Amino acid sequence: MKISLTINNRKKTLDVPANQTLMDLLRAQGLWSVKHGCETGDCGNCTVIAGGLAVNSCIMLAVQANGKAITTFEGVREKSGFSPVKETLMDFGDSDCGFCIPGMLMSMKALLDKISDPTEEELVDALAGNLCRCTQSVKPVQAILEAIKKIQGKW
Amino acid sequence: MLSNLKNVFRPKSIPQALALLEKNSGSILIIAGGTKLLQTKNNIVQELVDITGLELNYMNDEDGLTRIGATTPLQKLVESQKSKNLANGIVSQAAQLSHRSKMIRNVSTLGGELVTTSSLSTLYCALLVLQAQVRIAGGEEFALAMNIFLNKKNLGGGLLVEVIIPAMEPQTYAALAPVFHTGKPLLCACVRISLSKRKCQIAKIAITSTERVPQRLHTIEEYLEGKPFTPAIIETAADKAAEQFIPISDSLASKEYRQEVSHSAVKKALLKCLDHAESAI
Ligand code: FES
Ligand code: FES
Repeated sequence: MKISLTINNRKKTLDVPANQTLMDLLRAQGLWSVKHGCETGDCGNCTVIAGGLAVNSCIMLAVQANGKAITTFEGVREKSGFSPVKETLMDFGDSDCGFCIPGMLMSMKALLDKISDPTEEELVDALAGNLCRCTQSVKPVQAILEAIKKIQGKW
Repeated sequence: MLSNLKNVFRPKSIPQALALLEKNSGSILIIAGGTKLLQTKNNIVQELVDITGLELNYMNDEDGLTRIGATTPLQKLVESQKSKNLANGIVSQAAQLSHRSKMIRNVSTLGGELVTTSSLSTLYCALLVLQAQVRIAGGEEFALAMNIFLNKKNLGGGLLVEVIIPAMEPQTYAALAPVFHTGKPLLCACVRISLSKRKCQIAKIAITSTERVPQRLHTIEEYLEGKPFTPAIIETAADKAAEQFIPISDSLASKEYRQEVSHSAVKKALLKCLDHAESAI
């Protein structure tokens, strides 16, 4: 099936199988930050932003992304404002394997794009679908909260 | 993975969608958010009808009725001011409780949630006590009361297009009270109370738990109606909840435990209504 979409600001028209997930499509494009975790919407490792919203790309068909703007972690990592986030994550020693981090950061970005100064409750809710097997999510959430204070709306 | 999926249709109107469903019965399904379908790894479905182009993503007030389109995402129900203002916010809170993950709520729709729920649906329960109706398109368009819709096995080729919530009588208050166990919702009590001169005129109480269909607690409703709405009466009503509510045991909790906590859930929801009533004075 033919679909047209924007991936990290690049317009693309692609021919995709009807049953291909958005996660598989993005990984086939070399976007390896989109992690292949549970495939059931439980872990959030495959989180991307589609049409301005954080979504689990493993439980969305590629054809459902037709006409949407998709952003993966590759599309934001060079952005100004990301360095303090990266430094804070390192300061907090928040991750072991790091597998969950791109998904968490995409959930964080989707939130910050809407609310520049979220409350802890809003952040915890935004990250509730992102599981960290190594740290039980406590440290990454603390680190992201701290990072948000540092970047002060400059994301 | 939907291993046998061959085609996804994107109709632009309800008649087009219905015609597709009729022509391709058997291995065709409706998709809106699609989160549940993709989680289940269905190997039978060959074609999908994507109804997100039917402009059913809305929440309107019309002649005192609130109409919510079937493809309205759950997160929109959580966030919209309209839904927060409706019935003391129980629709918004119920939508939030539907899924822990915001990513899923961003995509899952009201219609999808109602059609595919197998157990513990806070949205069903909230809509049940608000005496909502669902409008089905297909053949003759018809509306079904939520309790009848809940007991239907399928829509016979029809399409759920919207949920209609009637206007609430003056001095009507609503609340829900979930009970969690290790982070997972165990049950949730939903209540709606209409008062007149501090006496309860109408009571609607339901608990959602292990079953798809929430249990209405008619005995407590009858007990409350006509009585002063006071903490003492609420306490007795909650005692009766534990007697009338009949859940089943599963891996999360035993039947007895669920019955015990139903007492505190019903009490908490009723006390919230009392709070709403007192702060409205
Ligand atoms: S891989 Fe998508 S949620 Fe786990
Ligand atoms: S650091 Fe390993 S899963 Fe989060």
